Amino acid sequence: MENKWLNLNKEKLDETGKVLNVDSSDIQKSKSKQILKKLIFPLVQVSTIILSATSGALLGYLEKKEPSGYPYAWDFPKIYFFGPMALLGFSTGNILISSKNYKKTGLRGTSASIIVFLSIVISVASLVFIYMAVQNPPPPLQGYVPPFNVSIDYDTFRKRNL
Amino acid sequence: MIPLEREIYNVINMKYNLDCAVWELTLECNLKCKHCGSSAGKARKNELTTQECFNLCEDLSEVGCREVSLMGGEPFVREDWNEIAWCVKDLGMDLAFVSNGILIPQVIEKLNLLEPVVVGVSLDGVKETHDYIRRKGSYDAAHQAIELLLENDIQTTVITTISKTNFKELLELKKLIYGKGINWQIQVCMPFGYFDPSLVISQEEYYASAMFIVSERIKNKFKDMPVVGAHCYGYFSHLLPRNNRWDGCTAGRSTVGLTSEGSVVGCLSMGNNQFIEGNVRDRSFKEIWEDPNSFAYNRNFKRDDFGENCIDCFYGEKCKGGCNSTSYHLTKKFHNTPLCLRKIEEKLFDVKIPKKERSNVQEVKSL
Repeated sequence: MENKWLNLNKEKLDETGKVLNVDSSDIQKSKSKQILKKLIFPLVQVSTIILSATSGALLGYLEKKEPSGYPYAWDFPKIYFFGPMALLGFSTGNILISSKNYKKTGLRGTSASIIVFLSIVISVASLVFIYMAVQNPPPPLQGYVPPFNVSIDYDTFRKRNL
Repeated sequence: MIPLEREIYNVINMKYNLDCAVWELTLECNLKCKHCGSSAGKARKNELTTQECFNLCEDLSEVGCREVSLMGGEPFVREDWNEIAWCVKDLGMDLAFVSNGILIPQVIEKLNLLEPVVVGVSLDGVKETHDYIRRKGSYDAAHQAIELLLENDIQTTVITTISKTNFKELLELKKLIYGKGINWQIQVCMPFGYFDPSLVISQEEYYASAMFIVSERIKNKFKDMPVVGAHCYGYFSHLLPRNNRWDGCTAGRSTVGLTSEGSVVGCLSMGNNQFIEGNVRDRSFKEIWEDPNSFAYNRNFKRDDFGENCIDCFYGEKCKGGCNSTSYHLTKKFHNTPLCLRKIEEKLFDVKIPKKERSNVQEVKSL
């Protein structure tokens, strides 16, 4: 990023500000702060997406590499993926609404706030899913009770009982 | 229909959301200010009747208008202002007033009941200057009005219109406003109506006032000094931090002006009959607002519409050439404002255009 404050006629700028007692160096400092502030929100959003997606993918990969043998365990990676995917969807929607509709229709504060709020809720939810997964690993294999539809030979069962 | 539902309806149907209607309730005024763009004084010959005003309020509500700002002339000289204001309130729209403050003591009780979101009072400088621009005694009246509004917990905005006459008094005005919870809107006086064109501030003075606004916002907490520049301040400065989003002039897109005889214009500050889109006596406001041919200068904006000041600007498509009132009054063209912080910085302070933003300049030069 080019620093526009480096090559300018600072004397002339100071002279202009002096008419109303303005010190241009105050403004220069504030401009840098503003750029930093602007970067915080998108950075947090992008990091959340990356963090959620990476954690979900990693947990899914680990489960595949060393299966726990517990079929329900696969539900967790599905949840991990849902969070970041939904977040991605909302972020995309948010960007689309901001850039297209705002220009055309002047979409106002309330709706924009709702979108941003939901986006934040989903970000937090996806982080909570990850936290839950880390805190609650799948139960050990010996505690496993097979569900009804897993290995029942229906024909054998019927013949025996006829 | 409640506003949010209307808003969703408008977004789905790609219609324009109306944020604010600025309504000249009457052109009659108890002052004759030297800078008045509306040339206020006597009422127009054929101003809307009370019933026509009620109908207009209903129409505004039907298109989903969020706020109605009643001004003049002086709105409080119109006898039925209170009934019209209540009609706005009863239809669920926010209500605001712009006044010179003289009649505020007489109407304060009614205002209290109406609970407007804001009352704007004009204050153009220290006592001598304000009285010179407006009338002897008008400064004390404005001051008293502000005190009364504050005592009654009514949100107050001081509106200062700057010209060469009062430009340097911003520092004095600041002392009056600081820490009182008063909003302060600074705007540039444009050469139309009664205003003497030779008193329009120069580009340098304009830039100094923009620096002043920005520096006050940096130095003070916003609650102590909520100072803003009006739409004539901007856009996409190289050096000054931006506090407000600017997507181009809002006239006919999210704001509208209504004259006291029922004409619909994009902005009352355009001050010219050629920009009238229709009259509510001939067509309903809804028809005018939703007509695809209305406000074409803004709604159907194309890159070809730029004037020479803006044609090579990197941010042109986003900015659309700044405030159209300023642009028209200073250059007789839309989308061509000479009061642009960015251009002034390049011209006066030799700020270099960054590499990524140079493509438009080269494109225009090659034509």
